[in-house]
Amino acid sequence: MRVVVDPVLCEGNGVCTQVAPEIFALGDDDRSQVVVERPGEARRAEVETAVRRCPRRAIRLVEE
Amino acid sequence: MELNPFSYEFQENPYPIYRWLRDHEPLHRNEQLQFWALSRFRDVLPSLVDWGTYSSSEGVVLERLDPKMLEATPMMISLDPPRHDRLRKLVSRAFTPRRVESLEPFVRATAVRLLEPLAAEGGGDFVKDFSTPLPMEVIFTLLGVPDADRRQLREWTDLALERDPDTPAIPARALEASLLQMRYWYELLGELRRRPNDGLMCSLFEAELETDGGTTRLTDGEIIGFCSLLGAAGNETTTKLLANAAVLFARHPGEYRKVLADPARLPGAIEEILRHSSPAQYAARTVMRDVEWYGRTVPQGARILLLIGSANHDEREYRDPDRFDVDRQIPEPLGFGQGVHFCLGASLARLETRVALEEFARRFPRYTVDENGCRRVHMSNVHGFASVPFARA
Repeated sequence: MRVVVDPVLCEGNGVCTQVAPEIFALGDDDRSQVVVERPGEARRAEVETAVRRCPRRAIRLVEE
Repeated sequence: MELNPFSYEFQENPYPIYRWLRDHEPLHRNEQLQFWALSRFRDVLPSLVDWGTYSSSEGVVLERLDPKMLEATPMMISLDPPRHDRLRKLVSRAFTPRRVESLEPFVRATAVRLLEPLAAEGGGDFVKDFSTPLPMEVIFTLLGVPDADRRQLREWTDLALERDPDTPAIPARALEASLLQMRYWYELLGELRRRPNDGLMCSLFEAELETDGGTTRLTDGEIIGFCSLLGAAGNETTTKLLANAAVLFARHPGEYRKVLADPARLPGAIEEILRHSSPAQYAARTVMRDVEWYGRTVPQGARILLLIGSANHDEREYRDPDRFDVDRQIPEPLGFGQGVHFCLGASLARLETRVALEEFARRFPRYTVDENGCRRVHMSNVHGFASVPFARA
């Protein structure tokens, strides 16, 4: 699985960076950046929580 | 039972009817006012997110807004993507949590200036003296509205949202106030084009709006749509949130003491205030295709209310939902909405509320509210107080 943040939808609310701090970080443009693009199955639950809790629904999980 | 959002009784205490709806008619139909309503958390949340099915293009209140006005001053709150996203992108950078953080010293200084006379008097009217002027100074400073005009402009904003009991007809005084308000913004726009300041309105003069073929400058109507929307949203909801906090803490001194003893609990407490007493009680949408709910069909074109206030008290989602508990976990907060229309000013509202309550608590660690003296506003989808007399205890 691959983690994608939509840079237009993301407004840097920082929910994902709290839920999964090792996978997301706020960039200089105040938007969320994916630090670990393919975090592996072990991290799926964490990423799914971030997807679900993003207030702007800006995060997607792409299955590969 | 019937849900009438314009009944003053409902605005006073909507929670008994919400509970009845959740238990008996999770899809509710009001024949007279011609709308549907969803009340359960797990129904409201995905519907807020699904903008393709639940469109904002006819406005987010039940009242019929003048389509000519919507067209003359388009506002992103009543637009769907892609136009919504193109407009929102132009202002979203000004409201990110990091940008908003830099406003903290200014917000704190304003809060302290407003609270000092109240501290000297030992009390006052929380709404009139504090929760109204604080957000007003913050949002109008951001937009670049001159000091001298702020009070009048805010009064028009208030009046424009007032509603009479039991009817969706917009009263003449509200229509007049919204016209006066729009005229003010047009005049200010002309003035600022000649003599710019460093407010957000002026930054919109230079903004480049994406179009299908390239980019274009914003029209005057679009700039005014932005300013009147951000002005109204920045004033009305934060004022209500703050006063709801003051009333809740007065009613639950034990919860207030927890926050006083450990200020790190305040951000969590603010989320609970938003859940327990949401300023924005519902969002109206227009259904873009036939949808099935509980064995019934809501037809394309119908109006539907997504009852955020009810979802926030859904016992299927929250244990003992009517209880005010500053330590409650709220994994998916709904108070600011969700999805593309998620409140742009959420970070600003959270900051203003935290700073305001920190400074208030320093001066009023013990206080009481005169419940008989409290008065509620009668606005469309915004619930809260017009007056909250309080005194040091």
